[in-house]
Amino acid sequence: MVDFSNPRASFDQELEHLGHMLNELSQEAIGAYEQIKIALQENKKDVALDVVRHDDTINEMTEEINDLAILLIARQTPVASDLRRVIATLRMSSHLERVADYAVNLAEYILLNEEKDLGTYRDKIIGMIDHLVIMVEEVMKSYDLQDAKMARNVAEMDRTLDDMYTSSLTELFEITRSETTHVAVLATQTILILKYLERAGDHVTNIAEEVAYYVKGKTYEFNKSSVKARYLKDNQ
Amino acid sequence: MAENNKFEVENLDLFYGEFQALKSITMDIEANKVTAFIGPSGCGKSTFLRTLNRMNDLIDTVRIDGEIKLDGQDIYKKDVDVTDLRRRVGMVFQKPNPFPMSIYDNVVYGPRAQGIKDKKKLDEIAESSLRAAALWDEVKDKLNKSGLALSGGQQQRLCIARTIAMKPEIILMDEPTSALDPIATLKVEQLMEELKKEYTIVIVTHSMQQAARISDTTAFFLMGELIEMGDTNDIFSNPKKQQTEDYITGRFG
Ligand SMILES: Nc1ncnc2c1ncn2[C@@H]1O[C@H](COP(=O)(O)OP(=O)(O)OP(=O)(O)O)[C@@H](O)[C@H]1O
Ligand SMILES: [Mg+2]
Repeated sequence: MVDFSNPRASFDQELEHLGHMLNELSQEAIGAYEQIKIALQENKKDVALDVVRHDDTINEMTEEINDLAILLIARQTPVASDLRRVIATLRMSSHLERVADYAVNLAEYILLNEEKDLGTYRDKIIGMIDHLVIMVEEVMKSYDLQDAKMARNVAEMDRTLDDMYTSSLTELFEITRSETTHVAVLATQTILILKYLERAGDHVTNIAEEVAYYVKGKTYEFNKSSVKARYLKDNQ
Repeated sequence: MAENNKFEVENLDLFYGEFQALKSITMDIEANKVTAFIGPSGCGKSTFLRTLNRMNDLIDTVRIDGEIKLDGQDIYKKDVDVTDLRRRVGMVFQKPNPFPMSIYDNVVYGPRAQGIKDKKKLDEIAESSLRAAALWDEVKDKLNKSGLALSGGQQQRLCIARTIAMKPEIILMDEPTSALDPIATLKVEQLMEELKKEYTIVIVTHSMQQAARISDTTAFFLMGELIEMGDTNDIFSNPKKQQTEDYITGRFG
């Protein structure tokens, strides 16, 4: 029997499926960071290698989301909140892909260096990863609940990542200047790694902006209040 | 009166006998813009469109309250010349309705009825109207053929040419492309884009995509009420009213 009570049934199903795919992608990204944590904590280079290998799967998932979103736009010509949802999901997926990319950079860093060399920065990196993972989980929750305020709070959380990054810079720069080549190279790599984690946080902030756009229909820039603005304020 | 308002409608009520089909409609229709009316079947789009050139006068159960001003003049005042009003405010219907006569005679029907007899003048009107309706190239070699022998899309453009020949200021179109194939539809839509430079266009459509593609302003009606009217881009990306959102996304029902 054909059910005429909801003429949007198949469209709604496809929209929901798109949301599921995005959630899966976020799970993969989180999974990559969890593995990085294990690799760091238990000094398992093979786990880091898995993260590098798994990157293709994440790229494929992003492409699938892209394909489905384009098909939905072509076949259903969504408007209003439907259109915003499809567009936001599409853009969120590419931010998630970037977040996962940084996990690959971390994996390469682990593969290149010996555990003993990382020193206190190992815990610092793990701390940033923990924070980043919570941000991804929260922003996905705000997407599922269509909660713009919750998304805004995630963007606020990004400040902590910014601070963790900037607070290490002085010491690391000092090392690059005063130490032997090997240690200086390691310090430079560590700066980059912390920077990648800070950037990953920016992408989560972008994802939060997409959630707010989808829910509210307006464009937000949560990032404004972040490093740059505060840098300007602190250096007046 | 605001500078570029063609119509100004205030608190318009319309009754068919006991039944109130329009409830306190207030809106401005801007000159040289395409304004689209959307809404579910029976919400009063056609009824409202017909109030703009007093086509409802032809139905004797109809009673109207409120005010409609065209260029600042109340069109329902006693001394208004309704024939002249209908010349100024032309109308194109859902189904192409060419008269059973030649293409040429169809186009110059109105001007002839107005008393223009000069052959040269009529030729001029026929050519310029057919050109304006983007039909000239397709029919210039067969002007004496019957209008009924044209395709549906050509017939609709012929009807538009017939309306244009009356030199209207406003063209009302009630679902003008609902009987046309996609290509003919696109031609009529393209034509509207061109026509709005000289005319004010008001169109009723059931196609959300059509409203989104061609109109500058969109008005959403529901059960005789104007729920929301605004910039088409806003209506289709971020409508203010939940009822509008529900309708355009197909959740309505
Ligand atoms: N001549 C009439 N006599 C009585 N009621 C009428 C008459 N014409 C229309 N109505 C009623 O007025 C209401 C509005 O009709 P109208 O034709 O304006 O709707 P519409 O929005 O154009 O619908 P559709 O999209 O189906 O063309 C409907 O309930 C209709 O039944
Ligand atoms: Mg109608």
